Amino acid sequence: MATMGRAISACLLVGLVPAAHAADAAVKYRAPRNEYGQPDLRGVWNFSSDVPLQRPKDAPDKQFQTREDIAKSNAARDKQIEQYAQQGVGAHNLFWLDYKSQAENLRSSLIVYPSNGRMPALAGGVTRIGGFAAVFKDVPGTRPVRFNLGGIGKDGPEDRGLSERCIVTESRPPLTPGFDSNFVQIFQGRDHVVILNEQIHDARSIFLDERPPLDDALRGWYGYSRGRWEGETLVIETRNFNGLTQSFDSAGTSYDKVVTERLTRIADGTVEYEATVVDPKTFTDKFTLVFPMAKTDKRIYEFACHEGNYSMEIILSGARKEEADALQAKQ
Amino acid sequence: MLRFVLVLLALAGPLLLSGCATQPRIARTADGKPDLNGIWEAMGSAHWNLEPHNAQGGPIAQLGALGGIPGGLGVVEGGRIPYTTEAAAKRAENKANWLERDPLAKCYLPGVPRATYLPQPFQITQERRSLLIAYEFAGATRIVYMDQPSLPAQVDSWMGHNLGHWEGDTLVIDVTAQVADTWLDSAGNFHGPAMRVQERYTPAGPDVLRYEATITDPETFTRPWKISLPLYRRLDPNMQLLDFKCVEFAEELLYGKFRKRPATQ
Repeated sequence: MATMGRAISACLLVGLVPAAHAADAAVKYRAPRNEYGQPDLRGVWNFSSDVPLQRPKDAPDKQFQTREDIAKSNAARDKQIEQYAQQGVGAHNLFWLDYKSQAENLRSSLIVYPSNGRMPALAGGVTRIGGFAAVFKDVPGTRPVRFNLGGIGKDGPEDRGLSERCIVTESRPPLTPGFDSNFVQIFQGRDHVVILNEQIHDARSIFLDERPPLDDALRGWYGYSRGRWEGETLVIETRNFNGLTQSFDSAGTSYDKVVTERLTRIADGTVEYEATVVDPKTFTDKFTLVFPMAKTDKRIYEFACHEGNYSMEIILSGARKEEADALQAKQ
Repeated sequence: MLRFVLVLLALAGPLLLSGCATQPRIARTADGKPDLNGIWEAMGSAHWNLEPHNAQGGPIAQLGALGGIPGGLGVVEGGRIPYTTEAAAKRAENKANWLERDPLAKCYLPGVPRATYLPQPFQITQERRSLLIAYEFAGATRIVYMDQPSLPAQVDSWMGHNLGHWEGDTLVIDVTAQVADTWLDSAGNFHGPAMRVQERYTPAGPDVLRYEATITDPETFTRPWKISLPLYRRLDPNMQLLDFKCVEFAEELLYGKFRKRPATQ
């Protein structure tokens, strides 16, 4: 259920959407300190966003939008979602979705670099696969399937998207707002920080003790992270992705991707999240996205996806039944 | 004056020494609690079988000695788990059908206490008001609320509803609302939906915790019973958890029969 919403959200937001730099605000705001004397980022943060990933092509200089603009686009999107919800089992209606920013963001796109607010061009030979096209119908492709929702066929579980297999969702670095479950909880230990994604209960440890990066042979679904404090800002550098996921925006592979995230508490109730992705094998330029995360007193509950993944059995056994029926009809 | 000091030392010495004996030198947080931040792991074979057991061959012949199951002294206080008659029969049935029934083979979240003594590390992130315990196996996690003793569980879950508090230097976690689908080891030991677990983590040195878990489940056991084992800090340089996202390792087991073609083709 959740994955469907995220996929739809990512797709709808692409081409439309990003926020403002924290630097100015951060100068004026000093975060409270935790028991280890660090800026306090602890707690549950909601990074829902009604700002599209990219700025409209015909308005490259329009960095900000008005509240009226946002209300209008949200109304149109609500209507679109309710229409999708009528299309079949598994589609979410508005009751299940949580995509509206909880901290005001008047940017016209999540992307703030390149300066036109749009994704950089793909590197030579790189293509996009998955995304909205795969949500309702399988798309042509080969294993490994690196996109999240939908699939390339139904011969085996490996033909389905990573979210359908309950392996990962979009919440790997960089965080990307989707249509639901946009929650992380940040825990701060003495020498490390953990960002717990609600989705797939993934806990990403960020070590702050200046340890060296991992051996290049060690690869993870979310990469492996190292961090440091720069004044009020937690800076996280993540590399060593396993290449079994896409780099970003339905393109390439994550293998050579390096993500630098900067988390700055700019008010009691707001953390500004900034991420810069460098992946020359997939994109011809780096890109940076920024959005606010809002403090919430809501809790994160267990997201036990694989344990209840009845859909996978139904998808595969249904396909076998269809094949058997087709064979019988021929005989 | 010297005699007075000597008398004081004579009187207070045993007390001081006994204090040292019961309070090992450990790292502490700013508020004086034991600092449990770090990566820990159990040793031994409790994950195979909580009760005393001899070594035996494994179920997959191709693995030979590599797949053998080591013996273990057992970690159950009193040696045996006090099952009701009906539950003992079910345990025997589970054991006879281990590979088909063990939820860990399917990469399901391990539950508590089994997560603690799996042969894979886990990381404690300690805050004053909450703890996060993150396990390498299946990327399992649980949040322990330290400041809300009456917080009700909203829903049953695989890793349970975890409420903690300190009793002196002991971290106590009461775990409730666990689904009945988890097991306690790979020998068929199990529990029912009414299980309550009280865990106690007590520093026994800078790099060792004494772990105790008392299990109460009147529908399955005739009385509460307790396990006890040490947990060791992983001292490897730059130690960290690595991915063990086992879903992909279990897909053939779970879905292989639904493939269009056998996986080997």
